[in-house]
Amino acid sequence: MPIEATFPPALIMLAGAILLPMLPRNCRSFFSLFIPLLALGLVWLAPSGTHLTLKLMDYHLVIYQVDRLSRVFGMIFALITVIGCLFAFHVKEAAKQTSALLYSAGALGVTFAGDFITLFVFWELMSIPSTYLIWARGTKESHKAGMRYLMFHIFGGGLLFAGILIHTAETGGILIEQLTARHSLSSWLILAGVALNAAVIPLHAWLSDAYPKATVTGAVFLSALTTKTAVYVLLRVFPGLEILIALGVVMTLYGIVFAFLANDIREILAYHIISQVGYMVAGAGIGTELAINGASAHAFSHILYKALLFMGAGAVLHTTGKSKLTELGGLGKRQPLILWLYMIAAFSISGFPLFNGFISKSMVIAAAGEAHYNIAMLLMLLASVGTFLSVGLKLPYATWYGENRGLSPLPPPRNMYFAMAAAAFFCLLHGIMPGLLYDMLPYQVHFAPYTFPHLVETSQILIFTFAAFWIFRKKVAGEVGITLDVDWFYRRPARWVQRIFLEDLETAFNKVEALSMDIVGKLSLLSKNPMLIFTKSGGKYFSPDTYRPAIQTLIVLVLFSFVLISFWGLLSHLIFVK
Amino acid sequence: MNKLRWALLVVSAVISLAAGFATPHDAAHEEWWNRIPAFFALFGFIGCIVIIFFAKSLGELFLRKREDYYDAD
Repeated sequence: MPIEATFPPALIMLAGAILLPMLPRNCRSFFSLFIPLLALGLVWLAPSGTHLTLKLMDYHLVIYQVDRLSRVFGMIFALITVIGCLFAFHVKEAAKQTSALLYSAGALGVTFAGDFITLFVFWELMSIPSTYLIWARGTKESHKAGMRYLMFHIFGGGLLFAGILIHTAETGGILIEQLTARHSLSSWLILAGVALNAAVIPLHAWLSDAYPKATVTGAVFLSALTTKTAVYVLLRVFPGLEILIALGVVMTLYGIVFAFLANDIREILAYHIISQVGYMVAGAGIGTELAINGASAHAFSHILYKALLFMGAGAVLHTTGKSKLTELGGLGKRQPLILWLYMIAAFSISGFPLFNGFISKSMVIAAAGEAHYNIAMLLMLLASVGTFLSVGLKLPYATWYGENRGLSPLPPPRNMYFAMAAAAFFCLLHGIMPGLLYDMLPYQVHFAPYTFPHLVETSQILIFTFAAFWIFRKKVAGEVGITLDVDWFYRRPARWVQRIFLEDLETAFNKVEALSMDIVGKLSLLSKNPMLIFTKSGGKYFSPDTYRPAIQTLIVLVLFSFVLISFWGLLSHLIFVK
Repeated sequence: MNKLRWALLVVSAVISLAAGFATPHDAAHEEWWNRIPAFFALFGFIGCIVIIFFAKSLGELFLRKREDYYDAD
């Protein structure tokens, strides 16, 4: 079958995922690079329009539909899958590679879906391989966290599906449309399902719980795909929904506060996903052309630098086996390349000029200012201060500088460097030439990031944030321990639920069982040995000898009575015969 | 930090402040914060301190727990 430019990239990924485990071991890594590259090419070439529909019962499914918004998201999902597979090139387990491709197939499928049924099918397709990428770490914590992650996503999928069913019943149509103005149960359910995947507070705890426990390579895919597909759906279905502005701003600040408290470096980064996705959610809520452009551009930039951050942290974990601030330190001399590649991503996320975060984050903030959401704008600026503090200063300071703990890291696989360099290349490319990214955005861009006031403003914020950090750097050091989050509400009571519904119930059942077995045992002994009624000496250690004297006495009595009777008979015979 | 880096930091801080004072503000975008001198420098400095102490006090208040908090029975 010839592959045309209108062939759905999601199906290429699916086919690749199915074929991959059948290939010889040493071909798989190349194959896992080739498939997302092919998908990237297809997304690149795909003309706008509807390319594949399918009739399912009475409904017309739209499997593959391309427009400017979906193309920019499709591009970055395919691109990050290439980079992620390059980072995981040394991994030879077919299950991990297949999961990555399946996961990416789900993300691309959601992006190019034209109807809610297709969207839901691909939406659910993402949740299972992503869970596997957490479980594959193989630790007890990752097993438990993966299970919590899966439960959360099954719940979210249920909300989404319920919303879609009600929506279809109400409108009779399944095509994806804007639901911003529809205030019905169905659109609230869809919003809740999507918001759960976008890690909107308070439905976010699965993210910061599970991502730090995922495999080193799996975390790269996780950081890129799930939340950003949800952002895409928000941009498509709920642009201009005002409540999203408030939720987004809360996310940006919540993320930085909790990231500051975290001790695990990948947990810091996970909380910063929540924070960064907050900008995109707020952008979706503002809903103007500039805001939609900004949210899309920020999703694009964010996926690149966040993947690079996770690759840097993953490389540290891979080479030292440690990921806690309190156990790391002084690696700068030994891992200069990882440090510098990480710092490119850290400068990007902090919004340094010449890095891609600067040209995209500022779009969202400017959109908030333009739409006169001044408080939202200032709070988002404050969040970017916190981002620089945690990701740009605290984390690298504690990991690569700080106290030398005598760690001797192994050299990482060379492909890790290549993948990180590729991501760093794009971070810088878009930072220096923003036009390349702006040309891909859904609407025409009338925004210039490199203006003199903007540069001055950014440099003042960054320089003085650094000054404050340096003064209080002792206060900022990581501390041993964990941070409670809303996962407390289902992790802590889980113990009580388990005690009431499992342990106590089991004890009660055990007691009843023991009691009934005891009664049965006694009854059966009784039918074997009726003497028990008289002796009452417990039936458990029954021995016939126990009762022997009594029987002997009985026998002796009977025999003696015979003797007596015989003797009496004999005597009377002797007397009466005479 | 050695002296060279300190000097760099101070110089860049001074340049950014001076540039801030030199920037003419667009009358169309006149907002209250543009009237405060060196607003964004103060914003970064105070914002950073606020975040550090707010987060730390929240942590000390009730959020930070032992590592085996969820495992302990």
